[in-house]
Amino acid sequence: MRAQTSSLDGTGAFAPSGAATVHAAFARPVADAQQCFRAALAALSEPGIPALLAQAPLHAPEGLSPCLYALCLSLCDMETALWLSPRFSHPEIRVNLSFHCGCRFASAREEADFALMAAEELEDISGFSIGSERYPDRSCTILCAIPSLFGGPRMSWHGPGIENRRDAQLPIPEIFWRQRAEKNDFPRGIDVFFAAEDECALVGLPRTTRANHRIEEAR
Amino acid sequence: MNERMNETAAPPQSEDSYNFAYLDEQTKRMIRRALLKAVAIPGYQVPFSGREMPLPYGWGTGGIQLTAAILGENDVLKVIDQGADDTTNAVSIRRFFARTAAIKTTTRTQEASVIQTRHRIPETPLQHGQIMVFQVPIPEPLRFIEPSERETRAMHALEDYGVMHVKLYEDIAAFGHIATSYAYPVRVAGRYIMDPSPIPKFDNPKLHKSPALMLFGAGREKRIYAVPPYTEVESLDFEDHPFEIPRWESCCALCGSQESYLDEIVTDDEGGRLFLCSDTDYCETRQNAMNMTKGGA
Repeated sequence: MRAQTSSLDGTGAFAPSGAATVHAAFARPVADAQQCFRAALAALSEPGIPALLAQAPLHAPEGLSPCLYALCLSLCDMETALWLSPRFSHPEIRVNLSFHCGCRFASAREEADFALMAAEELEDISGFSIGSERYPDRSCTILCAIPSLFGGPRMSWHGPGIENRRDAQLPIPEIFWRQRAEKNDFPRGIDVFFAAEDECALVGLPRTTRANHRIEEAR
Repeated sequence: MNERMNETAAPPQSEDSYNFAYLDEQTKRMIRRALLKAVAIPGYQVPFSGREMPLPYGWGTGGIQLTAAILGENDVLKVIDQGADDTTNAVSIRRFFARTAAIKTTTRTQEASVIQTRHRIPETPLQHGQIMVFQVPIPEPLRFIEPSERETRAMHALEDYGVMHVKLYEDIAAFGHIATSYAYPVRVAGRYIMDPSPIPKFDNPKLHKSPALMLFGAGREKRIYAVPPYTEVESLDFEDHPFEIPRWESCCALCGSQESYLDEIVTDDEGGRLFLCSDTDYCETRQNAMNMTKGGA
């Protein structure tokens, strides 16, 4: 791992074939992947609290935020199938993820262990696996690019990892919440990481979190 | 205590020939993915492809793999075995990570960011941001009732837990009270029944809505499970036989604590015995505080 990166450091970048370019990823692969994982663990164990990433990758492929790229680098490898949404399905992202993670790309949503999506694409989360009653862990985890972690409608979250209630304001399509509620059937369900584009921070949304609109609550 | 002095005098040499924290990166990623699923489904046992570790099964191979997967350069590690920092298992695991990860270790509960434990939760209340890693011998709470993995998996899926209450009821029928004193079954977030590892039932209330993240690793059985912070963890009981924690008539012979979990030490052949705190850090902190007040007066 280290050898690969240093050879890249020397040349900066190289192009294996044609247009797509492979860039250096984490400056310190072992330490940076660990820090990114700990941020993800903190984000998922305390839904709604933004977890900051100390170290972003050196150079994220065009169209992929450093934070989201860091998540891919620290979680995906040859054992996982990654599904790319239309917005992320282009050569530079594929080439860099293949090179650094060695991950397979899922052609169908049903096969995906991880799915890379943009916030506006959350309008449709059909097809992704929610696991089985006996193996609810065999479900898809969505890694979602979001412009900012704030600015959306005010919602109140509660569930494991949340002391009482927690306010969250993710700017994501309204229909996602309805689809999620219909799809999730605890213990089966989808877990989501929201990676911000305006800062290097992420928010976790495990299947256990119940989200209500503030207005509904007032009634 | 001698061991602690030795460690300050000569810290163990770090080993550059191993990857950071011993495990290879691919194994760490596999464990990390399992950990994230475990946190997302509190109390559910996630299967993982556990590796062979340089110590025998039963010595904490599950806990050590979890610790290796989460540990970073800035972590401060505490390892306890039955509450004690200075027993063989605790000392060797602490030195293992000091050598393979060159991280700071401590015996103080407040200073630790990661605490690996065998069979106790520290008396000092855990803080937000701390991670507890439990070593688990048998992760399946239903195993002694139903030996088939296929069946217990179906029972978890169907939330078919009646038999667990029957087991506790049999205690009442035979002994007049629930005699299960360790590995006391709990229900996590109102869904999964979980074995909290062989901690004494005295420690069960510390799991309930704890600000710390609780991770459980079973190396031989290759299972990982978790309890996120502030999660409801309810010890199973009956309306007419509510869950109770044990109390002692005596107090700790060294620090005088009446709140902590006590070990009974036989001192001679004539029935002499005394009780000591099982949590050595808690006991020493209290003894130091007492000496300070005495010294001041």
